[in-house]
Amino acid sequence: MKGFIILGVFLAGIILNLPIFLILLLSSIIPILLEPALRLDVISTVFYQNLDSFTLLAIPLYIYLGNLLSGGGISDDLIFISKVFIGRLRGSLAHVNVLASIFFGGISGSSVADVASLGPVLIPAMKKRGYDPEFTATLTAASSIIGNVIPPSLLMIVYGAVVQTSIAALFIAGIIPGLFIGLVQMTYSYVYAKKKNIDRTLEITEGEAPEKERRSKILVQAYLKSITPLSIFLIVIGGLTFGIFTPTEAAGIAVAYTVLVLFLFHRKREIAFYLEHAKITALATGQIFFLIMSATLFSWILTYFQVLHPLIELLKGIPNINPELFLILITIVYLLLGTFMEANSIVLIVVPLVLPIVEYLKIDLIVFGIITVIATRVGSITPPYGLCSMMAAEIAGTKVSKMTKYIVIFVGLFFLNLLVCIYFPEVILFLPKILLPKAWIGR
Amino acid sequence: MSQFLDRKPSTVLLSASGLLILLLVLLFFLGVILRYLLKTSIGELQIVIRFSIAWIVFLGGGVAYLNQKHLSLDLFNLDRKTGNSLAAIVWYIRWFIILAILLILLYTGIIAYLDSLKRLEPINRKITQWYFYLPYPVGVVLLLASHIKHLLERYKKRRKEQEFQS
Repeated sequence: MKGFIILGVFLAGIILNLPIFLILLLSSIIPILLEPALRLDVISTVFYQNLDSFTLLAIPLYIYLGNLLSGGGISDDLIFISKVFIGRLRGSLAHVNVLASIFFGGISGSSVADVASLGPVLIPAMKKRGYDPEFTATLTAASSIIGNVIPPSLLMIVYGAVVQTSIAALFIAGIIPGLFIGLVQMTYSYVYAKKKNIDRTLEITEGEAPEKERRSKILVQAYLKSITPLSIFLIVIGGLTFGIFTPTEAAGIAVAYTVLVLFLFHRKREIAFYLEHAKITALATGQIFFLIMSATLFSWILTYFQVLHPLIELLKGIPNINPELFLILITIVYLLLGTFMEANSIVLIVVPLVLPIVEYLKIDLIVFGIITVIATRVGSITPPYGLCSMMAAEIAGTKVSKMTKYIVIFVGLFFLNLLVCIYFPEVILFLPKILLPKAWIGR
Repeated sequence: MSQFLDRKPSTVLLSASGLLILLLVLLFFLGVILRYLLKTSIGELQIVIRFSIAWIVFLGGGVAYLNQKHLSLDLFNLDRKTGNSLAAIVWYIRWFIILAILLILLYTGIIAYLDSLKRLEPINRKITQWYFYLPYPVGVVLLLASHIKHLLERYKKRRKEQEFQS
């Protein structure tokens, strides 16, 4: 009975168009008021569990890192580096879009920051080269998801905090699947460019074929420009792999290092620049933590009233249920939920509920985490809640509704990536197994 | 983004939380430096980190609400899909529901703050945890103020529309 009330209130909140954190709070507060055994104090207790989490402290720091990098012109360097290395392939600008997202993902953990910083440069350039605005916008949105798979990733931090598993292992496990997603997207871009017969080669200065001497100068320039992003990536990954820092400390060090680099080499010497981005970070932190705190409360309520218990029993009862079948089913659930819910909320609500099944089926929490992160993030490109698609569509001067064909194709490609991760979990576990102590994996 | 950051209350509150973000970075950097270079640690840093994150979250969340920047699903936009009078009814229902939620949050925030006055800080047992719990009721007051502001803004807008029509 309580389950129906909770779901009814949740639906009513959606119909009334309340902000998501208020829908989650309303759906939690009403059952608390109806249950004599529960006190309202549970709200503040759950809120402060999140505020007291050392792991979640990394979130504002990684958001600030992403903001500083996109505001400090590092994204332009990433585009330049990508152009130098793959500018001669067919569909080169599309490849640059994907590769720059891979690089950007390696230093920031936010898809939105990726679209906001790379989109305004790459989308108009791609349109000029003859790519459909719809393809361009979808590719930009889809490639931005790589930023959540390649470390550092905000969503992995949230997942790690929920299931109490190693963030370092999750970060390192995301590298190969992230690169694989990029490779699949680049392959499709190549096929697209060949079909449309556009964008044969891309030189650094458009229209001019660089001489050998110039080419080597450009290469040196590219290597020099790659020092900053590469060193940020190495600080985070190296620091975690060698156990020098926690993920939260790694974020703090990466931000301090970025500030130093921007101050010394990029001539960002006004305090206003750092404060302005800190203000935007504070706003985003407030939004995300409100969502995290209310989603944790909602998840607690769902668990307390065993709302999804029948569904879990139903899943357990499926004959011959095996890890692969379960992972495919949960991937479909994530993809569906992702169309109308934010990824952090999905992780905070669904993961604790299905955790007993994951443990019952002996699925590695790192494998489950990477699949969760990819599948829930696909929602960033699917309407109506595809924030990245909406942003990219706006930059490309098109509408999300017109992008449907390409969105379906890219979601299909993501599903293919996910199937590979499900049937070959070694793709995920290979790097953590060789780089990290055994105790950090296999929980 | 900058359009709403220019508004006065947002700017003041966000500047305060922006400074706390900078402080947070400095504290983590300092923590690592102290541990690796000076082989020591200062427990009180943890207190300042907790203080900072609590204020950042509640001030940032409050300003986001003031500027209607919190995420919503927008699946059934009744404001646009229904007639004027029905949309107004839906708006007021939504407003009162949110008011009720915020009042409950304020109640729990005050209780949590009062409890924290008796709870000692494990790192330094000379102080209580009030500094960590105070942002909760303050943040909810900010949400309430923003909520009332939304009502007043709507009222003003309606008045202007009526004047324009007459």
